[in-house]
Amino acid sequence: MVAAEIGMHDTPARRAFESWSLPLLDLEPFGALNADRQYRVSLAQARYLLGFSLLAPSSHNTVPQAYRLDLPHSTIELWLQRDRVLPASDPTGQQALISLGCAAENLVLAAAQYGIGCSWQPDAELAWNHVTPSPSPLPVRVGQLQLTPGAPIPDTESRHATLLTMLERRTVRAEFDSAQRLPPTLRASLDSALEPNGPITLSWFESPAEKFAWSKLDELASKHKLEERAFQRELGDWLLPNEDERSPRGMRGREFGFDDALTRELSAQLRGEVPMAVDQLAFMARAGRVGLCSASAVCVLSSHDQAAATALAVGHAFQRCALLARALDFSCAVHTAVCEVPHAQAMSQATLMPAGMTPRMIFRLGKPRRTSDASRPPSSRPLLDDLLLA
Amino acid sequence: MNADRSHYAWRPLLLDATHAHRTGQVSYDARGTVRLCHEGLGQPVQIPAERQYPCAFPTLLSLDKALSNSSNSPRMRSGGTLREAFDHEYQGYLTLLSKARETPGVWEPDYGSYVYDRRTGELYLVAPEFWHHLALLTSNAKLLTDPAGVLSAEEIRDRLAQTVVGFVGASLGSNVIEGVVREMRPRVAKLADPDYLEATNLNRLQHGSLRYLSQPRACRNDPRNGFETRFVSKAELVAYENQLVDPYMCWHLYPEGVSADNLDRFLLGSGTEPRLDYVVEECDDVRIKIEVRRRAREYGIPVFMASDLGHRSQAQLQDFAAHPTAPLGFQIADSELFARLERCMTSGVREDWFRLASGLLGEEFAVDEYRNWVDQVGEQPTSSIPQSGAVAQLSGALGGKLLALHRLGHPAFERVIIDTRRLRMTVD
Repeated sequence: MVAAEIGMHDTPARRAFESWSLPLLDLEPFGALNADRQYRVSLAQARYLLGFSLLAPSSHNTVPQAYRLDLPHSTIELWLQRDRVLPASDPTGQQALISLGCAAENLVLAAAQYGIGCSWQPDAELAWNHVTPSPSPLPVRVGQLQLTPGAPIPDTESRHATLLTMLERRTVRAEFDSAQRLPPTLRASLDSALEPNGPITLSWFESPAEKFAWSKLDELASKHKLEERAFQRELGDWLLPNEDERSPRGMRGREFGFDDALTRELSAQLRGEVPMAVDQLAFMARAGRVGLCSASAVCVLSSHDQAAATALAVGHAFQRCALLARALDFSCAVHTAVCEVPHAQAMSQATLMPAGMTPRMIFRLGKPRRTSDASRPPSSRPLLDDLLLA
Repeated sequence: MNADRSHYAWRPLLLDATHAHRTGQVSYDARGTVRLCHEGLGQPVQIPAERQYPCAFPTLLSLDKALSNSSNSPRMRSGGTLREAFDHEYQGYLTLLSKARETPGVWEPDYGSYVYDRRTGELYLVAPEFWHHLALLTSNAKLLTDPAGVLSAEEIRDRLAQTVVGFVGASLGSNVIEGVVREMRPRVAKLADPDYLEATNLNRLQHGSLRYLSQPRACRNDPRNGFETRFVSKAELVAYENQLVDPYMCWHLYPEGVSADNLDRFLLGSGTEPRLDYVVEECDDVRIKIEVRRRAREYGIPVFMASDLGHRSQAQLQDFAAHPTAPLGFQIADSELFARLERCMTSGVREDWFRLASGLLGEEFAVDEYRNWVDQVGEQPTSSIPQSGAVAQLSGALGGKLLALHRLGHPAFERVIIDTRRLRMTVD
């Protein structure tokens, strides 16, 4: 079954969007991908599973990951391409690591659908100075996934639903319907999504006052960040024209609901090529506030420690939550500003978070006010071959 | 939030002085330090003389100066004149005051009300409600009358006092509040605003000051953590400051703002919370702006909005009680207004915000320097819509006057514009 067959007609039929045309294989055809049984997991099977990893979201759609397959040992190594880490948006590399965590989570989840256990082991020596932006094309290993066939196999319906959720997930940067509440089933799912005593804690905020407090802080942080020239230019570079069907990375304006003319104008304004209205940045920051206030819940993933490896765990946790939400027809959008602007993060720690917890990722869940926003075209992806290391 | 929205952390406590003395809620030691017991305080508090403000006598002194015993002193329903009623009250009070002074251990007579400011730990003693209100209003004289001129001063005061106004938005809205309370002195009001005070609000927020840019250091979990700014709710500070002018006034607060969920309660009331006679809409959430109008029209509640548009103050009163099918916007069809709202919220195009604004305010709402800001001509220091502090005050004054006049039966004008730059007024 391919994207067009399952109703995903919104996906442009171009190479940069081929990743979204991944077929949903039943057990038998998946098994047939390992006909020679040379390894416990074949190259074709690994590539198929990595196709789902590739669908995970990433900061600014930078897709900063790379993979190295070690089939004799049934492992897939996850690497960070430091030249894909954005210097202005992500000076510490935290957003890139979270992105890698999302990619790993999709891989784990996809493998599990075919009875392949997949344990994630971050590299013990991973440190922040290994993941900061760098022009060097040399990637950095961040961890590996050990694949172990023979795990319990979900039934066909469940497998289909899980894989489809990964295919259908979108980041929906639109106003949500503030009348929607989190259903009890989603609350229960989110409650059980994270290990009770694990390194990451998920908190969610549903009252209007709490949502307002987070949204106001996000607005302040976003405005602060947007005023940085380097960030503006970078954002302008990564905001692509809607008609660009080739770039494998970056964000098209349509993903924000922008038409062609606005996308081109805003992109040029951010790059400093044409004048920008004095309220444009405030307008953009306010849009984030509207988004958060309109959500069913503002969710915060936090941790006690600030380790680099924890950022990967945040990515795992976020992606799990995003997929659980998607399975119940809820959408998700990420708001990074509070976590990326140190004084805003400190304010949130002091006033909005439980003692000792550092917010690492903030996202909102809800249903788009306009149903059409839920089916905006997805972002592009590079080809898997371009991400495989020798 | 408590079901009773008239309770909030800073609400001054109001105690009848006679009851407080007799029950021991308020007692004085030999040095004049007050011991105050109240269920809202937990532990009794000690209030030294330095923090006590006896205001009843100065209030009556002021009324003595202001009220006239001439033949046209307002006639009360009781038959006598206002001055006669005051004389009776004043003589009684002066006698009580003398007796108190002569009685060992008595610091204040059984008269008026204590008002305890929990925020500062200060104690006020104020005149009884009728006389306190009279002092707050007497300088307005009888400038406000009904169109036919048949209502007595007392009837006019009662009608205005019984008016319930709900304010959505406390920045520019605080100016309209000031206009309304100074003109009408209502007994009950409602105020909704989810936001906190920011320094950049201080050019237009009535009662805003350094006191409210942050809660005290003691409110922090970590007193040394400079990032732990505990902000002050605009709704609470405006209500609190107003209750320090009129502690008898009841404010129902919506510090979470109004939303689709609580808007009906805000408009229609619930329990002890009354229905609104007017809603003053001054919020910056465009969906709420329009939803307030939509539901107010459904319920027949007039909507007032004052706007500071550069040098121009604009006041609009949509009398949905008299005109239940009037459009929600200014001279445009509802369908067009909703279409503009949706475009504004989804397109990301700056001009769509101004198209929506013109649907509420009318075309050509931006002129002169304000137009320059819209068009981005010349130097522009601020990324938010320019707002003149002086025009905000004027807008509030217009609000107070127009609502009071309308309440007394004067016709509503759909739109009044006062251009302070050209000293010109336009009425639609």
